[in-house]
Amino acid sequence: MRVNVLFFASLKEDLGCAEIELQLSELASRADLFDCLTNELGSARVAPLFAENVSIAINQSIEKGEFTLQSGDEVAFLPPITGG
Amino acid sequence: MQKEDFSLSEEYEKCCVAAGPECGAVATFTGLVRQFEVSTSVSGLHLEHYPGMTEKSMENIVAKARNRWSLQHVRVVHRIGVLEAGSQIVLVIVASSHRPDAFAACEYIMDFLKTEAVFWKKEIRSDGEIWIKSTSHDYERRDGWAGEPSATVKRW
Repeated sequence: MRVNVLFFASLKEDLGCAEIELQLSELASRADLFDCLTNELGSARVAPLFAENVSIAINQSIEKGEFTLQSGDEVAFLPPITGG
Repeated sequence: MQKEDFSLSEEYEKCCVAAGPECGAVATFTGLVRQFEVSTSVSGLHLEHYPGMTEKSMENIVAKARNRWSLQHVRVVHRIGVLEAGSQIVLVIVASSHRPDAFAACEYIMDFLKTEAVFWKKEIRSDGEIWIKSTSHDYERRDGWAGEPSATVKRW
């Protein structure tokens, strides 16, 4: 299945891309997502995504724990937000 | 949310009309791009957002404020894109029957916009560009609202 992954702000600059489409197996987990990103982009490039203060949103909702992905999901990696 | 600047007086008028005859208090807050940050000159800010999620995060903050206080109307304008130093960034207008709810809700909305509204700010400085980080003070202010039922308690 295909899943679109978005990167914002500092992560977009660190990774050098705003989005990537991944080919994942059905019901891919958080670990599967990170494995696939590492394979696609390399471990050095994806290192900032592992930071503790980076949030993951699935279809625009923050997911703090484990998750399984569905075909067509939109995954976003969000650095700490600074609104206002 | 918009790229263009806003007019405080126009937004205030819109708020008063929407608030109706029971409105007896309007509190406003405007955030600006500081021109100096710890002795470093700042020429501007770049404000990034996540279309869709940013709007939802702002609506959620306003909904929580409306649930907590008796408010006639709330207007929040947040700018995105590149803003020059001195520009207006954000506007919060809260209308209520009495001033305690208007003051408290205005402050509450700003404290949550700082920490829960999905925006990222990059400062364009004389010595380079850096992504701004939230401070512990920002989180302390947000967390200071936990469990506090009254609008009239002096918190700071």
